Order: sequence, then C-alpha cells, then structure tokens
Amino acid sequence: MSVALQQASPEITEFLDKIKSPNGDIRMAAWQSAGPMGSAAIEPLGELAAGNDKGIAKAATEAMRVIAHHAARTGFREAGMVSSELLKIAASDKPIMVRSDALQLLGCIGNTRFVPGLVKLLADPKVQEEARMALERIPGIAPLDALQAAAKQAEADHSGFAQNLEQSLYNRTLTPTTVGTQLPKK
Amino acid sequence: MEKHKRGMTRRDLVKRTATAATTFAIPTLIPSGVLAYRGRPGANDRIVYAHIGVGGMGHSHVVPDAAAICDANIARAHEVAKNQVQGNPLVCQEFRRILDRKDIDAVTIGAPDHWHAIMTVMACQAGKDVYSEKPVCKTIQEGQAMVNAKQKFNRVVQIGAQGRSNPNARAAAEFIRNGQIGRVTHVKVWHPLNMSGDGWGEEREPPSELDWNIWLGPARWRPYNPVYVDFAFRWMMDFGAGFIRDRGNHVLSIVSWCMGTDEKGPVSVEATGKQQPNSVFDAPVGMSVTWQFRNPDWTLTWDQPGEPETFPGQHEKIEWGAKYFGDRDTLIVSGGDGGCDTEQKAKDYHPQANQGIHLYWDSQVTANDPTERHRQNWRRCIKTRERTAMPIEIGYKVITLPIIANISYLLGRKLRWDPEGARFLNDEEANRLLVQPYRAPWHL
Repeated sequence: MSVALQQASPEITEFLDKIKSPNGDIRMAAWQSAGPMGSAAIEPLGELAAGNDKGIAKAATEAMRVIAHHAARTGFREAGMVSSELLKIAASDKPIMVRSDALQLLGCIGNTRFVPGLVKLLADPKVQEEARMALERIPGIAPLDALQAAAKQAEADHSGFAQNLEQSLYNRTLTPTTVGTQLPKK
Repeated sequence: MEKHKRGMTRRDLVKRTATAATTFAIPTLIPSGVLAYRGRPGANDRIVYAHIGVGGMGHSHVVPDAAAICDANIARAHEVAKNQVQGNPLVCQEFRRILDRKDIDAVTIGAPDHWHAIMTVMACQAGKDVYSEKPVCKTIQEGQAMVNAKQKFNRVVQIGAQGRSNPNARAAAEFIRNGQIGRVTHVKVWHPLNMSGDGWGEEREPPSELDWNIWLGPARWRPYNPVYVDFAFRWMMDFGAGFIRDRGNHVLSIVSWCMGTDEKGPVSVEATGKQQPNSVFDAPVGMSVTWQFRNPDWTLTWDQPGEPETFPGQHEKIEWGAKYFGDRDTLIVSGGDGGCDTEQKAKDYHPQANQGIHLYWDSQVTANDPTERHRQNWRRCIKTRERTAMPIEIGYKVITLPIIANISYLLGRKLRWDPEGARFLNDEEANRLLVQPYRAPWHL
C-alpha cells in the first residue's frame, strides 16, 4: 500500500474503500459524490488510477474529475489545492493516460500559479503536448508569456515542438469572430 | 486577395472564364460543348465530389463519379472505391490531399465526430462546399469557426440533420408554429440509453490498414483500442459524447424548428448523468437535462431513457422523439432524422397561402426519401448558392444545446447561459470548456 493510501484520513479511507469495491454500483456512487473529499483525496486516487484493476482505475479517474470540478465552483477556493495535487500526478512517473487526465483537469481549473510546473513538463516528451494544451487553456498573461518563451527556446533549439507552441500562441489570438477565418500557413 | 483566390473553385473559375469569353466574343477560348444551355447541362455544370470518412453514414453519400475517397482506414476507402465508384478515384487516408485538389468542388464529411469541425473549416478555406454529418461539432468555438469559415469563404455548408428535409417534421413545425396546440410550455424529449456495453476492450497496436494518428486527429492522444473505432466512438467524451449529441442533434433540430428557436437559445441548463462502472466508455449512458428558455418562457427536457410516448390509436411505443405540450393540445413527433413522423392532425394541416408561417421547403428536389432529399437539396444549392435546408448557422445553434448540457454534466452543476454572447454567466471554468485545445498540427 502506498504512503498516500496509508496516511489518508478515516473519512477518505472509507471513501477510497468504496472506490476499491468489487461492486461497480458502489464504486460509481462513491465517485459521483466525491466532490467534498477535496485535495486530500487526489494523491491516493492517483495511485488507484494507475493500478491494474480497470474498474477501480476508472472510478478513481472519475472521482478526480468530480473533485476538480467541484473545487472550481465560482466563489470557492479549493481549486488551487486540488491543482497542486494534480500537478504532482502530471509530473510523476505514472502511466501516460493518468498524467494526461491530470493535465486536462489542470487546464480546466488551474491558474497562473501552476504555469512554472507546466512549463517544466513541456520538456517531457511523454506529456509535453498535454502540458501545452493545459497552458493554452489557462487564462492570463503568465501562460501566454510562458508559451512565448518556450516557443522562442524551442526555435533556438531547432526542436520540432516549436510548431506546437506556435499553434498555442496562434490559438490564444482567436476570438469568436475570427476563429476559422484565417487561412493556414503554407 | 489571397483568400479570394483560394475561395474560388474550379467550377467558379470555369464559369467566370466562360462569362468573360461570351462577353468579349472570343469563342475559340471555350469549346462550345463545354458551355451549358437550358435543358442540357454543360461540362462546367458538373460538380466534382470527394468523400472524407466513408464508414457509417459516410458511405451513403458516395456518388458513382466521385473523384476521391478518403478514410483513416485505407482498406475501407479501397472497398468503397471499388464497390461504389466508377473509374479510378484517388484513394487516400489523408484528407488534405483532397483539399489540395483544385478540380474537386465539394466534399462530404462522414469521419468521426471530433473531425467534423476542423474538416469543414479547412474545406471551406480550400474553396470546397461541404456536407458534414451530424453532430455539427464538439465545442462552441468549433461551431463559431464553422459559421465564420462558411461565411468568409462563401461556401455552401449543409449539416446532415436530415429531419429538416422530412415532410412530417415540417408539417409538425408548421402545425405548432401556427398555434394549433396553443402556447407551448414544455417539450419533452425521450431517448433510449446509449448502446455502449460493459467491458474494457484491449489496448494494442492498431491494425495496419488504420492510421491511428489520423483517426485521432485533433483529439488528445490515447492508445488504440479496437472498441473506440467505428460506431462506438460515440460513447467516448473525447470523440462523440453520447446519444445526446448524436441523435440529440436530430431531435433537437426538430424541436428548434417547431419552437422557432433557430436563432435563439436557452438561458440555463442543468444536466445529470450516469455512467457504466465496468466499461471503458466514459460518456454517460443516460442523461436528464433541463434547458430553460425565456421570451417566451418554456422548458425543454431530455430524459434518457425517459418514458416513451405512443401515437394516438397505436400501441407501439415510439423509440425516441418529442412531445410538445401546448395550452390547448399536444403533439408527438417521433425521431428527428430522415425517419421522422408525427400525428395525422399535423399532416392534415396546411397553413393558407399568404397567411401564417410557412417554413423552408425545397420543392425543386425530386426524391421522396428525406435523406436523399437532403443530399439533393445540398447539390442544388451548390449550383444556385442558396441557403440549404440545414445551414451551418442553424446547425451551430442546435448543437449548442447538447454541448452545454454535456458541460453541465461534467461540472456537476446548473449553468446560466447567455445565448447572444454564447458564454456561461459567472462560471469561468465552464467557459474554459467552450474551447478544446487541439493536438498539433490541427487548429481552427
């Protein structure tokens, strides 16, 4: 059993037991009501999402989704703590889809505080594309500056990833009235 | 100027050249046999078609003289070319080869749902007219891009919501729009659960005939699993997002026609759903959704599975459809696609000429089958440059309904929607989901 699972509070332990249940209905009921479990549940859920049991892995993945969106409700302040835990999963050596799922959620709920962590992942070939997409989605100047700096560096390094970063910079310029109107570069 | 050049098709070019030749009386420039006259189409009236994505509905659009057949599954592309096309069409996996062909005027798009928007946009940019299957698109931004591309590059874009070419759907819409059931306060839609089964499939190397990278296209990468491809992609949120956006596109298209909301939208949406715990598929197998409309006030509900209705005097439950509750009467409309039907009282109703609301109907197409009517309508409009039965502008408004419902489901909360601004009110996270970043090199 991982450290995260060992150190969980009684409430979270009970919740995780349901996520690990052999009964699919119990697992689903647990993930659907996972929101209030908050950031403390993310790390152990990441462990379960990386496991071999597909039913448990799905339940853990869905529970992380529910927690992340619950945390990002307008007027609540939990999104930052949940994002921190998601970034740890994204930067871990877990399976690519577990990291990809964490990055997708980060793009939905993360803020500028998480830009440096995402920038580091732009150098990781396994998830650099998902990190780029997360940065593209986070509003504000900091993600834009980070994408510009990364694109400049990638260009200097003659990295093929420079084009992907340029794509994000282009996408950040689009508005509802301009999207779809510009001819592709030759 | 560059845009204008790219927006000109081979047919445009030939017509303009022909016009110039006639005007300046230089008959030797254009052979007489090329020019058309009444009753005999000339060679320059022939529209050159190509087909992108030829599984499912995609193969039904294929014309015998197609110039190209494209599919991520090259074996399927070859099979369709061999069985449905005369001559020697280009057969390829990469649709940009079709867009590069200046001799191709129009394309049908039957690729999986996550491709519809970007293919439509790029086809418009390349000067092709487009028939794209439903659902219109995955995100609000994609819908905006499709509308913008169609308008900027002056293309004819038909969405494959074939109910708009179904006489029964039109009869129902005219019946309701002309007040025959009074003021409508509730429209109830019901639909069976998704047809996704339990099980996990098996992640493995894709078969040699399938280019998995192309199949994924703009969607984020994931390993190949044979259960994702063909019909079942609908049950993955990254690709199809369930029946609500699939057949929902059909039935909600008819609701929008009947309620006169093609240019309007709801002010709120609240959705819940239930997944399958022992399935690789992550779209909710069933959903309950409520949209509220204002001015006039009415409520639209989607219940999956819901309680099926029965036509008066019949016993058979209708698999999917909508019931309209007015303050004087009700009306049932089954389905929403080419097989759409309604009650006899609506079919018997005809608004008087020059009075009441008369809805779009293409009387110049000849087919009886609504699906074929829809295709004929598109082909005719390519020649006349008229609006089609289901133009992208209306398609985008219709698909907004399931898109925002799926966002409400994902976020687990009721959302307020600004239909004019096409944004959620007071929910930053929900607004981030109006856009889905694409995997490179794809962009709108």
